[in-house]
Amino acid sequence: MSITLYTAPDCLRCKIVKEFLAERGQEYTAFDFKADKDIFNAYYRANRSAIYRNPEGVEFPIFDDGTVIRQGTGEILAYLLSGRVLEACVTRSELLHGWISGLNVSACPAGQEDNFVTLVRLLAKGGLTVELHADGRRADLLKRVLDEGHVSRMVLDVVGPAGLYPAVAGGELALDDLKQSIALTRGYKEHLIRLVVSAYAGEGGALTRVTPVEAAEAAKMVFEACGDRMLPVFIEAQQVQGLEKLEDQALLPYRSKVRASLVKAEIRKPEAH
Amino acid sequence: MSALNYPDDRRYHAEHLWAKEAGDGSFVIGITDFAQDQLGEVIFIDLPEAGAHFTQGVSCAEIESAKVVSPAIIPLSGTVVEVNTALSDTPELVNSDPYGAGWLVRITADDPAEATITAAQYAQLVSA
Repeated sequence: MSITLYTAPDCLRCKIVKEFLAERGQEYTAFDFKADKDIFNAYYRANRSAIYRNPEGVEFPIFDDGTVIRQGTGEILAYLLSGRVLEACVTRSELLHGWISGLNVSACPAGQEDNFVTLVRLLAKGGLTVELHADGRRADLLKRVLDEGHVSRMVLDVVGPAGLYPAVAGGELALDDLKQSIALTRGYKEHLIRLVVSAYAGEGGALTRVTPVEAAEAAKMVFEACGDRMLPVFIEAQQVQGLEKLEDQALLPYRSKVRASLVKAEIRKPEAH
Repeated sequence: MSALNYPDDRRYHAEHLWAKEAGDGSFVIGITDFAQDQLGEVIFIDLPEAGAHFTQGVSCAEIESAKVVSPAIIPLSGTVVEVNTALSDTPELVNSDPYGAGWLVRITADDPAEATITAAQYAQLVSA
């Protein structure tokens, strides 16, 4: 299978992928979208519907092995490390300008721990600033990743009450795991704890949202796990296509319910970096 | 970089497109030198079908460079009678010859007297 990379000049994310391929002795052909514009433009036109653009344009590098097209340094390295197995925990980075996100340690499949740790290390050593996410599961792995010191910002997302975790996150949440995850997150230099008003496929498959009552249950669970009513948490709605946007006024009922357990809860607007 | 050029043999719209009478009453539409310079190397253009109707000020095509996807705002209301098929394989014509081979569509105008701006007015607008 031959690998083709389409890159941009002075692109750190491209350099990381190239170095990884070189280290593994994997052959590849690289085309620069400016220097080899005829080749890139023809490729772009032929594959346009499969190519992702971030808010600043086409996301480079583009990786194509004849079977899949991958973009985003995290996603490409994940694919090279373990095929499609890491797809659940390595998704598109919403951060630009030297940052990388889309890394959810809690969704790492059993047996892939080493690859996940390697991935975070490669991204950070390559020069990217890493934002790591967790949802309270896999505190053991979270500790391992944080201990390596490659994470610049740690975000703990409580995505609902424990009872909703299988539907929202795809797995059970153990309270002891949550307790450890909160402690690890709070001990990290730059961190954020969010209560996410998650959107998920409910009964019958219809898209639905965590309700204020369920958010209150999640907050109570967090309080019981950490024992600190003053824990700073931020309420943030997950915005998805197919559901009306939930913001500002609409989040007030969530805040009042959540504050019954966590008195410092605030509404937070998603921010770009 | 050479100065950008706005020939005065055609009419302009503030959203960076031009319209030039083709001689048979129809109008050829394209983007200005300023627009192509801002876009950078154009890599794809999503053109409309012949027969499509657009009102002045709405997008009739999408122009993609590696950096941006930009709507092409039609300078006159009208119905598309022809699209520049050469752009599907050579979209960079929009950069190299925005007032000639890089035209986008040809339309029959609903009202040839519809308000537009002159080359001088457009040049002033983009230099402001």
